[in-house]
Amino acid sequence: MFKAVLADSRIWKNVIDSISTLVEEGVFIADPSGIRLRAMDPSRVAMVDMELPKAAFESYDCAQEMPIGVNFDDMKNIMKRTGSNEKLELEKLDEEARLKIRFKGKSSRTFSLPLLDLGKEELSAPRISFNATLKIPANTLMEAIKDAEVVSDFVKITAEDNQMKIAASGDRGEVDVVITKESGELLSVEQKEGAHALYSLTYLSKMMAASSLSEIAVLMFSTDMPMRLDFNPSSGGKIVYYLAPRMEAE
Amino acid sequence: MQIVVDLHIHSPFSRATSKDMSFKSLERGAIVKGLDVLGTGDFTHPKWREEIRASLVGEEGGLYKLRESGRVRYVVSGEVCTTFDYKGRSRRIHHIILLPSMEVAEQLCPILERRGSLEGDGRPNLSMTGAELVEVVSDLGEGCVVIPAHIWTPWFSLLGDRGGVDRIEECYDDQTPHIYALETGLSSDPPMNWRVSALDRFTLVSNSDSHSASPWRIGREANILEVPRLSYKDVVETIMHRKEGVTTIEVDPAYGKYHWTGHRNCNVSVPPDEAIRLRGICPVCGKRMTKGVAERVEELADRKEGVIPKGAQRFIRLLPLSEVIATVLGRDIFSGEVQKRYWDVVGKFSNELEVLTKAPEERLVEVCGKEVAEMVLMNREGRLVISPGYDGVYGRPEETGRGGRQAEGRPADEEERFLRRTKNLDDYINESR
Repeated sequence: MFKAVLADSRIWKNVIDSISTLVEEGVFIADPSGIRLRAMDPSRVAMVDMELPKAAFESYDCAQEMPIGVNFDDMKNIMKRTGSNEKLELEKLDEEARLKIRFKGKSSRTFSLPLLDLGKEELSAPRISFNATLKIPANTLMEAIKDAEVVSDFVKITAEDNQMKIAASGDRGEVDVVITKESGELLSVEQKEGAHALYSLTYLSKMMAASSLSEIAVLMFSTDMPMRLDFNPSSGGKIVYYLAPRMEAE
Repeated sequence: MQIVVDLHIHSPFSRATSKDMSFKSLERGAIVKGLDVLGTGDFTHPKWREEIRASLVGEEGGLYKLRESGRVRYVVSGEVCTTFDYKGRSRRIHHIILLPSMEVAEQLCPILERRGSLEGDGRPNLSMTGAELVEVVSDLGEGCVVIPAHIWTPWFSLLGDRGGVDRIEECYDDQTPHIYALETGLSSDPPMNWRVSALDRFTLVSNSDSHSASPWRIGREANILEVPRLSYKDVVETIMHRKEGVTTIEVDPAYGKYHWTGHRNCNVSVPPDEAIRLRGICPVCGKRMTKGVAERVEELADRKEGVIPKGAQRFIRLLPLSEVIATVLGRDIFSGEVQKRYWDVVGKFSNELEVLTKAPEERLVEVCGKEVAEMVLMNREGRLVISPGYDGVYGRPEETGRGGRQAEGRPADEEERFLRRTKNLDDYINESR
């Protein structure tokens, strides 16, 4: 049996929003240490890697590993029904192919979500050594992405001289965003060498869904290599995205 | 007796391999696929050896099985990469090693360790020639065998365009007589190998080189062996000396990731004659394309297409059931819908190979539905048309006339252009084969 209680149901809502932005179906793995999920979007361009440890829950009970396959649209629709000041209870009995989702506030409301037998795609995370690690307010990153979306579908991200540059150009014009340490918006920079790469704005924009979980984003990348974007919710756990680069025309 | 064997897989200690692999999951995957014998993979890695010892127990005849009752039998196997210089160029070639017992593996590992670390990767890199490898392996005694792995793939293979050689002797030198079999790899099939008469004396074998325990990966290529009894000696001797007793299960070579010559970043792929006309240069960006197996075979061939040499082995051509279902549904093979349908179908038969090779049409229609049943039969009869793979991109079955994968489930033109130029995360997870 698996049973877990979150003090604030909105945490789970935000987790589901952060996953469903990329993935239609996926398998949570609940085990005695917590819940995790790793999945790729259907085009296999982006990956989401989520962990919510036991400590993030008000109470948590799971004696052995249990796969929980869900359709994220369905779960998202259920989570839309939660209000503020509600606790969330997730429960799955060993023999049942359903997940009980219970909101406990002024009243107790229980949804029962049919689970999917999706097998288990065993994904490894990309093993990459990143040359640049930038810590930045999620909101600042989101605004830069929105600026870039005005003119293009792609963005060039550059880390050099303790600055982060976000540039985009297309038929609709050009935009350059520079974020420096001096402005206070670039919270920290660790750089082994300069790095630049092109990424899809469509995916980056989707990945910013996790900004509702954490005010700080940590962006890691190397020249023409996948990006890793980390959000570490204050409630515990992590949402990590990987995004493959677009190669510049040679 | 007839047995189905897949002797080349990897453990979680190899790069780009599913970390959830265990003998339990391998057993399940092998049973679902319909395999009788599986290689352990990665015997060179100390932690995987520990796992082999903990999970498997040897039985009379030199094969291993799960400690708690198991149906599948295991052969001690691994793959190594040897790096050596030949004619001023560095050659990196992969070899499969089969051993009769874990005790022999324990003898071999310290010898190999002198040539490279065995702890970093389940498929270790060793500084030695192919001949030196064969010598140390065959010195261990009877039944200790080296088989060149996926011999045509551009990287890391015996006859591969990048890092391989043109003649088997250039790798194995005076030890060439101790090479009895060649693994053809996904991107070539027996008829392609028959075009090179120097390969005639070898037994052609096919294995999955799987990095996962999933039945849509293990056994996707395999061997059907006719053996007097189920033992290590009979498996190895059949491969070494009785090639008439070996029938290979092959995917269509066009399905392989390196069948045609091409340049992935520019989405360019061309057949051998066109590649030769272009002198291997990408017509879009002017860079060198990755030479496909079809072109490489053309380069080394001394026979015309269609010649069947004396003693040619039998083979059957099959795509995995998950690919067949994905094609019909117009979805990715890893999508939930495809996986669910896969498990629904195989659950009603003994295993996947039964579905693919034996199940009668009426039963297929009843269990799989008309469309999947029809594709299974097309697959069985070799009537599937595959859009050829190139430069690391898998070939794709074409679902002509029914509006399947090509028509649905694929991105619109604009997004397709983007995807063509955007790398895939798999590129950074799965190492090139």
